[in-house]
Amino acid sequence: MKKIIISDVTLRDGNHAVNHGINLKTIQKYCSFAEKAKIPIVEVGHGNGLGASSLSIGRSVVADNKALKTARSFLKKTKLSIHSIPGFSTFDNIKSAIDCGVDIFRIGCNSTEIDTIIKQVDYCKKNNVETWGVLMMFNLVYYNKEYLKKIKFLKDIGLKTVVIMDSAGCLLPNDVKKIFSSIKKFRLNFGFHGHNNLGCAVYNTIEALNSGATILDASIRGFGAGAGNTQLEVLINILKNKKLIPEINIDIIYQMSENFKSILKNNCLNYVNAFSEPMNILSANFGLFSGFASQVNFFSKKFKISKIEAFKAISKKKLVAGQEDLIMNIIYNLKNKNTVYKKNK
Amino acid sequence: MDCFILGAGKIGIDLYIKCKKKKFSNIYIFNRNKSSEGAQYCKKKKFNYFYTGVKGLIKKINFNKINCIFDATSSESSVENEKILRPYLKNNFYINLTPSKIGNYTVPYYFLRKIPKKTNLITCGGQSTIPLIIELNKTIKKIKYVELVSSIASISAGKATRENINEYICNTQKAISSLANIKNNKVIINLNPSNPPVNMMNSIFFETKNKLSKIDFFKINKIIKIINKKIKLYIPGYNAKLFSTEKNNIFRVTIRVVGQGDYLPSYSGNLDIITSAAVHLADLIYEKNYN
Repeated sequence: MKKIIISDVTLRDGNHAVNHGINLKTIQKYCSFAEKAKIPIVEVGHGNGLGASSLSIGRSVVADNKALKTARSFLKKTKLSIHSIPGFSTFDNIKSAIDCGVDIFRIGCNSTEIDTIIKQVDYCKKNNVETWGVLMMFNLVYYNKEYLKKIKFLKDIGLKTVVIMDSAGCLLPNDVKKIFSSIKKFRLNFGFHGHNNLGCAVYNTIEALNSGATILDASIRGFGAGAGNTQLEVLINILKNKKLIPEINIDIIYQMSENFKSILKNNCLNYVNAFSEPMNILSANFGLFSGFASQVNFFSKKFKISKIEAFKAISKKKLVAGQEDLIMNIIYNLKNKNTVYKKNK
Repeated sequence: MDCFILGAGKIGIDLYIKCKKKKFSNIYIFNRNKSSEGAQYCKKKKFNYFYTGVKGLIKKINFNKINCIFDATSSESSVENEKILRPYLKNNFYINLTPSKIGNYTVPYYFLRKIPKKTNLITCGGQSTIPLIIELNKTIKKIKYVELVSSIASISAGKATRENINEYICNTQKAISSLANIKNNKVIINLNPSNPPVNMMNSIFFETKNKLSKIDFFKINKIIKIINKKIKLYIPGYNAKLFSTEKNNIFRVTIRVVGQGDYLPSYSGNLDIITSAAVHLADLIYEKNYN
């Protein structure tokens, strides 16, 4: 059996939960802990990855380069990875990330538009860095059964590792089982990244593992976008009991889990435990990106529109990750029934 | 005036149809792959189509006349094309619709006194937003950061667009810093796979050094009105609107671009704005040289 690799996305996906406010101190503390606990990979960065710090999605408190350099200085055996979405990031961003000492580049985008990653994958390969392909919002290609083509495409452009992201948190264990058993034949290293909107993140991750996935994404206390990610402590505990990851020190992980809240609090990050609020359940139902929750929350309060109605309207437009700027327009239009543009005409 | 179009992709064909509506005498379209979807369409519609590429263009062109050459290939091909065409450009205008670096950055929303021999139409995001950024930067002098987020329908993004995302971002950023003189800028592009397809939407976020007053917002609204009027001359489905935000040194302008539906349906505003700009430019060249 292939070795199982835990990829810790706390410092990247968790950024969604605190409006991209993870600061240097938190990065230092968390990285030194990850190193001690012997977690194989830690991912750092803005919630939407490299170069995504912006007014429309939210500005990172720390610049990409600074965050990566700091993380690098605390990680020795643990590898440093980064998420990158073409459209946000450019070759220049990738270049400077390489200079910061990033080990793994996870290049991805919404599963339907996966052909846009070719150029960045080529660029990474030219620079001899480990490159993975990431299929975000996998539900977009799962329900119309397009996904085998997409995986074949990724294999054809020479990728050896592919991570499947249930960014909407809407897949159920059965779906995950079906996906991973049907893509086994491509003989790639497969990974799974779960979200907990329907309470299935851990179960889905185990199901992915049983059906051939070897890279498992998780975050401490489930700290992540929307209803949160696969909870690291729970996942490690299960894998430990199965004697699958002998090298990881679970006691240190428990310790960190207990301290994590106070670390966030000490760094002025306001965060309550990951929980699937009604709006998170709804967003999964509509197959929307989990990261929309915070923006919907903000604007529905501002314009006094119910979150449920807001999510329904957003689902009609089928917004995808990156279109956070349009959430305000949609909610604004909901309020003024005669839309903005009619007025101008 | 003759028009020569390189590339028979979505943009090339849209250009052809738009040129036909104008009074240009001959229009030719070239590409290198005669079995491509675009080539099939050209044959079916009986366009003046040749699969001989840029070399075929050189044979067809009449050098005594003043002509327009549109490059609607990809960023990489345009570099090769320009190299081959360079000796022939004396009398001709080369309009670059790819996001490569060739040519002077141009947004034809104002009347150009002198049209450069080689023009670069930046990108669709650039065409739809840079006029506003230039004009707003002239009046609201304290702008320190500008961010442009474009969403386009996935189906309207052709092969070259998908391959040139990096060039798209770099070229738009450079154009904003050179035309509008705002060095601190960011460009983001999203492809939206939803069906039915969405219209092209652009959000521009402006961050100013100081708080904005009511008078400032009044001025901003006035400029938006003027720009709307000017750009509507060549693309009627252009509409910009101001939104204030919770912070009083940040405001945003949302621009929706609805296409004219010449080749692709109206949701492809992103194609329409750049082809309309190109044809408008050709129109200006025609008026100057033939009237």
